[in-house]
Amino acid sequence: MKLTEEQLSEIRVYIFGTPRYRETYYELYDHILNALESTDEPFHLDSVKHIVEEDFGGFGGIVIQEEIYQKSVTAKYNRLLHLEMQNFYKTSTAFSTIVLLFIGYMLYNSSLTSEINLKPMSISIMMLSMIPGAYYLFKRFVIDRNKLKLSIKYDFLHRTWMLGVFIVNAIMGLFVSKNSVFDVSNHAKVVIFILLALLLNLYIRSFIKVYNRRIRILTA
Amino acid sequence: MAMSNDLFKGTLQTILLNLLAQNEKMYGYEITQKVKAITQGELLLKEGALYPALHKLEAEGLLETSTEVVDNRVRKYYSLSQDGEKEMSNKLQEAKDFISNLQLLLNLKPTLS
Repeated sequence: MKLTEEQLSEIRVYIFGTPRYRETYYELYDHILNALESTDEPFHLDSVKHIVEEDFGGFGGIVIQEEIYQKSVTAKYNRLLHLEMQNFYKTSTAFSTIVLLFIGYMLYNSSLTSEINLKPMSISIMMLSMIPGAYYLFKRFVIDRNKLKLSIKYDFLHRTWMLGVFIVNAIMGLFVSKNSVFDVSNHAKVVIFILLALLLNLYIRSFIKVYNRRIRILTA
Repeated sequence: MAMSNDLFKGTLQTILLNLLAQNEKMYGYEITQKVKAITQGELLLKEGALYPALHKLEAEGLLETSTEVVDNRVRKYYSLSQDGEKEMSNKLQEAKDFISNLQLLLNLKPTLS
């Protein structure tokens, strides 16, 4: 049975509200149309309801399936990010880490002999921690023009960049800021900044690499 | 008849990997119809079990996905990844061994080589 545009629209309206992610929505929509097109019975919305109930266990079943899917995809991306971070120092980008280490050493050395202004370092670290977020927001709202539904990959990316910002802010609040919980010397603060810069370098590069090379493939 | 969930649990991944090894790429509905056709309607693969299994295999890196626009709608295709090809051989052998043992335990006549 070939469905008319009006019937297709009716189906879209019926199922649109349930799936949270576009991957699930597309798959559900395609499945329903395939099932309907394979029968000779005249179209009725009850047939769609029957497919949803019978094949997917109702809208509740779809939501449960989607949650499982989202969790497994997020776990997969997390593994990929950790793997990328672990492999980072084995790759040619290790050169930038050596340069950063050298700059860090120079900064620490000068902090031992003269007063060092920590404010620019603090601002730089905060800005660095925002890079994955800026990258994510740019990809999601500027590059990705599909505003129909959220892609499953954004859930992971959103959580990951927020976690990065949270960790940096927590460390700043604990050790570095004016009213920090722990009172540490300026030399120690320089060491914290250097360590944060190194970790952020690793995190930002891995985040972007995973996004560009792996996530796009997985959710193609 | 629809195969009972308990029987399907252990074999569904093997069935999916094997089907995808025989076909370059397949989409969800096509898989259900293929299972129905091969078993002459004796076994019905329910979508409530199919999609979670496909998604799990995808997340484990055993399947790769691609999308195509067909009749003005997005269709998601699944195909075996390199890891999936390796895993398919292992799972197929496991299933054959299991069936052989089952035949022994249930005193069934052997039908598989």
